[in-house]
Order: sequence, then structure tokens, then C-alpha cells
Amino acid sequence: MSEQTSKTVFHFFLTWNDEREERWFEAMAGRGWHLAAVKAGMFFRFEKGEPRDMAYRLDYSSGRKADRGEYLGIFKAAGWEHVAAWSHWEYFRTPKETDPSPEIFTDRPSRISKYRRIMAFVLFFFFFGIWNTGNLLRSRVRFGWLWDAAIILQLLAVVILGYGVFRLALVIRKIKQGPPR
Amino acid sequence: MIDLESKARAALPLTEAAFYVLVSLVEPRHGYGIMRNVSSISGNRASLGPGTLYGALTHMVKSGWIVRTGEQEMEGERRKIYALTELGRRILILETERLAALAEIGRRILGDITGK
Repeated sequence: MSEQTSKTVFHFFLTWNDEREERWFEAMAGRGWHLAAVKAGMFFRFEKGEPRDMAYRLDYSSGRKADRGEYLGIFKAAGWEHVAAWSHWEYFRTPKETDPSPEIFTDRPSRISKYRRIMAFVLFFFFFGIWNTGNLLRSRVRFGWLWDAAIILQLLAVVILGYGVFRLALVIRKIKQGPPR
Repeated sequence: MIDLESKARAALPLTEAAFYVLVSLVEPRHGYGIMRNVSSISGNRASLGPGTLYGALTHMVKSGWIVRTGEQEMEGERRKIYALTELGRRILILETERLAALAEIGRRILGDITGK
């Protein structure tokens, strides 16, 4: 039987769990599975290689595409390899051999602003969901069960997004109370 | 210019990262040059991660503390060069004076305590 050289794994992460995602990539790299691509934020393609002690870090970019070359250039110059991108998420890695705990953010304000960018995104859809639910409730046309289903789905989305806002606020508070680095 | 002075004062205090970026840009440098300079002038006490540096640079360009003066081709890559503006230089000077005044007070008081 031939050795498997690549595999795609489905894994669902919620936005406030990005550090758990990083630990997962690091554990995979330790077993020789190196991240190669991310599809739809849930499908991760890994390629088989030598097991290596790697640090994985995720950034949430502000999305100015015109400046992407400079953005990636600064990470590359600092020794970080850009592995994948999905939506606003950017996936970077670097070997841990020279620095056992390398970080892409080296102070509290910049770490907080990353989560504020995520928060802005989640808040937008949270309020959009509330507005949309209001529209559905006010609409005169009602399609019976289909309408009920739309309302329930919409409310569910609002609850999940609201929970996301809450969790992100906790992450930000934890950074504020944590060590400066 | 009074406007420049009040703008500069409004920017204080700086984060340590912002201070290191401004002090590095007394000479025009690209991002990598800033990171290396920060390690060197701080005797490896401080380091700037790329996410922190990129965030600081974009914020400072937007606020008019620094400008992009050009590009440098290096190892097949284009690196943007940054330099202080008049405002950025003023901010750096005021912050240095502010920190020096604080350090002076701290030294004086601590000197008294440890001197006993």
C-alpha cells in the first residue's frame, strides 16, 4: 500500500477559538502533517512531511488588498511563511527552533485590535440579523411553515452571533488582564 | 505651528512599539529594517512582531506621522520605505522629553529611598 501524501480534514472552528486552531495545526505538524490549504474555513488540506516543531499563527487582516504585498512582505522578512488565506483570515507558520515562542503580535494593543476587527465583522452580521428578523416579523406576506422556518433560522443566527460577540469580548478582556506580551 | 504642536501632544503617550517604530524612522527604513533596528538598539530586549509592526505602520501612515517615500527592490521583493513627517518627528521629541521627565522623577525618588 502506498503512503498517503496528502489529506483534507473537516474541522469546524468558531471565530473566537482561533488559538485552539493554532494548537491543532501545531499538533498536526508534530505528526508530520503540514497545512497546505484552507477551503471555506472548514476544510484543511495537509501534506505529509517530516514531523517538525512549528508555530502556527492566525491574523485577521483588515482587507485592504492594495497593500497585500507589503503586508505579506513584512511577515516574510520576520521569518513567517504565509501558508493559506481564507476570507479575512491569514495563516502563518515559522519553525520553533530559533525562538521557542514566536509571536506575530508582540504587545497587548495590537493583539486586542485583531479581535476588534473580528468583532466588527461579527457585530455587522449580528445587527443585520436583528434588522432582518424585524423585517420578517413585520412582513404581511406569510408563507406558513416556510416563513416560520425562516424566522427560526434567523433567530438562531442572531443568537449564535450574539454569543460570538460575548465570547470575543471575553477574549479581549482576558488580553487586557493578561501579561503584556 | 500651533496646530502641529497640539496634534503632536494629542498623540501621547505612545505605546512602546510605536516609540520604537518612530525612533527607528529617524532614518528612512523599510519594515524589515525597522525590526532589525529595534532588536539592535534595544540590545534584543524588545522585538516587534510583524503583525504589530504592520498595524503600527498603517496606523501611522493614516495619521500622518510617517510617509511612504519609495520602494526598494530586495531579493526579488519590493519593500516600502517609510520616513518621519514633521508631525512624527515632533511626536517623537515630545514623547522622549515626557519619558525623560518621568524617569528623572523616578530616579530622584528611588535614589532617596535606596540612599537611606
